[in-house]
Amino acid sequence: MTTDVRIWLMALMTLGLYSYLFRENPFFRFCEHAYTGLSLAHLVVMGWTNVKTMALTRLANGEWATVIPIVLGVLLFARWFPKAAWLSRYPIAYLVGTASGVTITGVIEAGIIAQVRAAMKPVTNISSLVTLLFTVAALSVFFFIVGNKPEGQVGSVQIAAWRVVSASSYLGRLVLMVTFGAVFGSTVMARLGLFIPRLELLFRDWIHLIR
Amino acid sequence: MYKFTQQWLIWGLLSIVVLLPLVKPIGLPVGYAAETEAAFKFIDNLPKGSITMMVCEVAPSNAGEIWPAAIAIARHHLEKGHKVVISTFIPDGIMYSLELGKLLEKEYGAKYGEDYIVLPYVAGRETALAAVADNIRGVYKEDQFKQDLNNLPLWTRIQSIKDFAVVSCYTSSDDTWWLVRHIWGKYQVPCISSTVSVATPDSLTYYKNGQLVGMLGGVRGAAYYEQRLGKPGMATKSMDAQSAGHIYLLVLMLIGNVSYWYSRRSQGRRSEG
Amino acid sequence: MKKEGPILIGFLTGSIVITSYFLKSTGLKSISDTVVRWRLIIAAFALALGALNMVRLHGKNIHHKGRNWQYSVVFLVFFLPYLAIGLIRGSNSAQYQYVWKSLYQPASATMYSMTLFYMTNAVWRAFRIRNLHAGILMFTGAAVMLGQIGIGTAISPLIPRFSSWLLDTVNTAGIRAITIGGSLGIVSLGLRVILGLERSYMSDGGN
Repeated sequence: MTTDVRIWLMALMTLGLYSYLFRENPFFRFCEHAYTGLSLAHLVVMGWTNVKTMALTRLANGEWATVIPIVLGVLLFARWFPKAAWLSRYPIAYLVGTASGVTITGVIEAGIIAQVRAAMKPVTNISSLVTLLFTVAALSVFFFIVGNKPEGQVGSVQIAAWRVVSASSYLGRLVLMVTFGAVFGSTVMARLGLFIPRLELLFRDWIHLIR
Repeated sequence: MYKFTQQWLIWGLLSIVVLLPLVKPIGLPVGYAAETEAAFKFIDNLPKGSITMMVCEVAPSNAGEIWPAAIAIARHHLEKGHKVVISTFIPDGIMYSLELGKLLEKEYGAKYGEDYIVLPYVAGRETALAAVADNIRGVYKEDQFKQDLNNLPLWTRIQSIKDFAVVSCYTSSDDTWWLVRHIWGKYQVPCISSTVSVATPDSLTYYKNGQLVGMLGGVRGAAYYEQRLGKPGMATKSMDAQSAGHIYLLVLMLIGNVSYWYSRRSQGRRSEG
Repeated sequence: MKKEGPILIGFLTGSIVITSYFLKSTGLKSISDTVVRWRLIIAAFALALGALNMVRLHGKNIHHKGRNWQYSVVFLVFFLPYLAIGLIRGSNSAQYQYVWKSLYQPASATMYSMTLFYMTNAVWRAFRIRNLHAGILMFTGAAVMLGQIGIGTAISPLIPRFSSWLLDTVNTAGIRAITIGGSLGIVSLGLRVILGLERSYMSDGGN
């Protein structure tokens, strides 16, 4: 077993949090609150460092306009005072408005045009035909305009269109099940990927069972 | 004493099954991954002196999967004589950025400011990445050590995001999506993504679309890259344990379903009777 | 002032960014870059606000001797010194890194790794092939799992090949459809925010 204090701290923290698997207990709660405290202190330190480098240093260098985001940032704390809470809407509107603009500009090319372009590549083999058909089918799942079966006096074209979209949508749901299955299959590796380093810490670094 | 339950049997067996290959490795093969091979070849073919960016979105919550990939690609860059700029947009990422820098200095004698730079954390996630893509010099004035970036020789070669030969990202979040939107989508700078396994199906589509030049999916991608580089590391070591854990869960799934169908059949018989 | 002001700010910031993207004017791009850069500063304040909110909560709990207030003390005992080290010595300092690596990093990694146990429970208790959809989901999940690991390759090289085909062909179709649908949703929601039709972000308890 190691004599390194750091490894001991790491192992105790790990065991303390794993003890929750038994049931909630004081050891777990202690570790949990210690973790939350450290995690939030880290966030404040990072936030403050950012404010210093991105705003205060620039302000000191004569970029006077930087005072605007600083004031807006401080206004966020108005949420703590009920009478002045509405002032925090200004920075939030700034955050949300800018983020919307940035996201829209990115999404149009990468999320729509590039996806459609990739889907409409010439069909050269069975796999590419399958991808094209399945993409259309999966898209029709989100085609909410076609709802229930048309009733009353409707033309045969409408009925036929409804049938095509319904069949396509059914196939699309199966395609989405494959996608979700693939995500699930990959999740297992992700979770094990988190657990294995914990075992290595406890059994290699701490008690030296693994060489 | 707590009651010994079925749950504890399942969890206990899981731990033992995953632990055994760590104690006694088997050395199972790592399957071919075309998308990781593409990433490897792309980096391998970059000319010496190319400037690259590594977006180090590594945190303790995902390090088990993507940290080995970040190390493998950083090593590859240095072996090929590339310059590396390390950036991050998550608070935990800065700790791993610093670690990566130390590793490059220790293993390759990389010089800070000439071979690599560590940029400070910038808040704002997608907006931050977009701001860096649009105007990198406007966002960064100082490095992580509070030095004026203009005093670093490597930085003087960078005017915009287009000066990077490739931008690679190590993430468990939507960063791949943001990379594709703002760096590839707006400026057509080649991008590589190393994601946690759960995000692999998403990222694979961007690779298939041509929006990424390569990708590393979870531990498997990292292990493949390590082997391709000829430097087996953390990911390769954990692949046997991964295999054991996967098989264990598949067996659980199978037993669960067989018992479910058996109980349904016997219920059906009882109701018929 | 309480409603119109924020809506105007949202409209101005969003439309400046979008217009600069489409018009490719150097002057407009410089304004847009500044707008986006300022947002990063406000985001840094928001980061601290979130954390300090928790501190207020724990402070109140200790003050009122609320439920499990002793743990709120534990919270502050770890929060305050670590904050002090970070603010005084900086995040690059050896002391800051020591605490981060010894306590924070293992704690965070352990918290997330616990999900494996609950996922194992779900696999054992809940994953049942009750219908065609569930069957497809599980079959794909199993194929992808086997395709990713060495044992799958050792059993037959066809397993990883089939898994890759599923991922490349069918999964790509599904993800592509989700991406297109999601992107259209993002654009419409973004436009609603910029045009002031979406105002849920203004719920602050004020008037």
